[in-house]
Amino acid sequence: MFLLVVSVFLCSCRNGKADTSASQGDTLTLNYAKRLSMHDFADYTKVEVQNPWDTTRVLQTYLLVDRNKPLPNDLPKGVVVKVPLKKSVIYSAVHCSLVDELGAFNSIAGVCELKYMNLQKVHDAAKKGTIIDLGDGLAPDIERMIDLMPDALLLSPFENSGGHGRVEQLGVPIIECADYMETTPLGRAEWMRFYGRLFGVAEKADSLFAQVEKKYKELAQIAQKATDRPTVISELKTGSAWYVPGGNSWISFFYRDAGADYLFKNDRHSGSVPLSFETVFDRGQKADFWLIKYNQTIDKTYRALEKEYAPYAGFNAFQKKKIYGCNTNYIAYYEEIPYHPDLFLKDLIKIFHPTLLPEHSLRFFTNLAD
Amino acid sequence: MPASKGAKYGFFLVITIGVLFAANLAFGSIKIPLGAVIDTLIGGTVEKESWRFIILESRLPQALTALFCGSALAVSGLMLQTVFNNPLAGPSILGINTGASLGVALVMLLLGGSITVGTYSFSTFLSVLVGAFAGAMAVLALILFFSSLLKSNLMVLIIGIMIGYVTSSAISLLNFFATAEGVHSYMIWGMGNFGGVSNDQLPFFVGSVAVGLILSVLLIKPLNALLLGHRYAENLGINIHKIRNILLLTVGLLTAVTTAFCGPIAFIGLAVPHMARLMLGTSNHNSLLPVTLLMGGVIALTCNLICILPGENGVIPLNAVTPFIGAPVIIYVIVNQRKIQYFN
Repeated sequence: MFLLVVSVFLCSCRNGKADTSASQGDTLTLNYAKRLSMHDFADYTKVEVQNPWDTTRVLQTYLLVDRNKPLPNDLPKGVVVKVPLKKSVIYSAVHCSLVDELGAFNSIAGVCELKYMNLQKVHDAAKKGTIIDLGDGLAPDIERMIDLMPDALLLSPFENSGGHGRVEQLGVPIIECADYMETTPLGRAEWMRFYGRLFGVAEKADSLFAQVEKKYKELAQIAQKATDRPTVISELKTGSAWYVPGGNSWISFFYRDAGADYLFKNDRHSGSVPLSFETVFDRGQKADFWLIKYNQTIDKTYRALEKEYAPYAGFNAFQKKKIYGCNTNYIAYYEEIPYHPDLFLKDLIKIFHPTLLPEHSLRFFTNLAD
Repeated sequence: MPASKGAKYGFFLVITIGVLFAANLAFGSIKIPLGAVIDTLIGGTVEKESWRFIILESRLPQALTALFCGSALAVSGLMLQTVFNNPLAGPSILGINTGASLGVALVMLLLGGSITVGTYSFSTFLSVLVGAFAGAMAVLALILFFSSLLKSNLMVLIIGIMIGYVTSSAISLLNFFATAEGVHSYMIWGMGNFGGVSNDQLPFFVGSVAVGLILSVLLIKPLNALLLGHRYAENLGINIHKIRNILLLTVGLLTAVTTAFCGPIAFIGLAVPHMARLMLGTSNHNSLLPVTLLMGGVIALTCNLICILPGENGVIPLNAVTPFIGAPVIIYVIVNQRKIQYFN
């Protein structure tokens, strides 16, 4: 039954954007991404990014034109981006890491939030001066930005943030990286095909995505073979609230594909929901697994968790030592997972169904020490 | 006859606290039948084991924390208002809260939440507590220093506000250089929370707050003397400097403990003493201090109940609730300053 649901879901995704007509150009079929559409024309590629908070509206239309050819005459309305980019500014570590993997690292001229970037290569380049640190992502150093004169800015849009401030007036194309609003793991990863086209590495990006997709689906198939569906909860209490990933969140889809029963799957939020301790406890006390991610210099242990908040010890997963932690202080969770959902899925399957992947050793998670 | 009026209100407040405390145990984000709550408390058998756990491990410590935290903040507010002879003094206004926050920020952000000494690591909460106490005492010491230089209490209040600003800017700077998670957890802590004290920390929390509260009750007489003005108090044979130091140390203890465990909670310390004065119509600490103490518990328990109003769908942060109760009282007091008896 579940297999059927999954296959219907996958098929329905595939049929979504298959229409091709002359005026539309050649549609590049995107099977999973819901907020993105791309059309190839003779001398440009048209990319539309949907508004993630109002899917009936287009957030931005980009026209990717070859920077070595004269500008085509009959361009429709949209932001012209001359590709491949040579001097881009990238705001987030995840996109830097993708661009590096696609072999276009030298096209990164500047970054924001350098101190949060868990990428040695970027830090080295910043020391050498080949990458400029532009500071805070919400208010970048505008003078350095002007001095650098990048050919595009890659940044993430936020709801009701009132635009991107002064950088909008520079006349530099702003690429809205709304991939984080995709709700499915493959949907988000598929955005790499757009980014690949920006950096002139379309084939490489397409083949990397095809590879990720193939691996992800193979792993999901393996997970479907499991006879049991262990229950899972995640995260920890911060202050009075326990921020629980919603039932339509990206992470919830991961749990489903890994053959687990996420206890908040019926929730309808795609982001996180602040719940009280007792709500989580009431539903999750008997959960088989508990996954947490945190950023600390020393790894969390069962004893530390109990000291932090004694009622944690009331969960079955705590008593049976089934808590797995990911310390993002040194594990590239945020940098790797968006474009390598297959690697993350593999970890999850190993945790939920260890017998299905006997060879795999965990990459992101570790079982907490006593 | 203020004493008997105080006793009457005191009795009424104790009953209210009982009712609110029971309500705090009976109601929460999830629905637990009243019968099960009673069974849990008298040690009977409960249908669902998780209910017993929620009531005993989450609701009970939270209600106790709210009760003691509310009393502690209200009493600190009252003592500060008397010491500085200023109706707008309070732990948050004078920057004592912010001082404690800076201590906590230093611990949380710079040390990653815990101090490691060899193989032993202090638990997070202990280092947070030490940080809060050090911060609160540092600010209090500064205020004390300035209050010995400056004659005017208003000026001391302004100095307190300025110290608060400087401390906040230090906190922003720390936040700027911290990790995203560190900033997040600090921000959440700043929203206030009565649920952070678990059963094994409770004896320590309740114990240290109780010490502070007992000290404050013992200080009723000198507090009344201070009301008459410093010169009168000195004529009554009271060593003003010594008394003021003891009072501020008590305030420091109460504020640091509550801030460390519950975060900087706004407005309770400022508003509750005024509520008590409005009720009693007197500034005599014989009745004012006990009534303030009880009233603080009532208000905190009420706020805690409001926080869980969304039910299963979530929780409201505490500091989003307290100003709704506190701010109108302060505005009322300021607007009606001339008419209110205790100002004259």
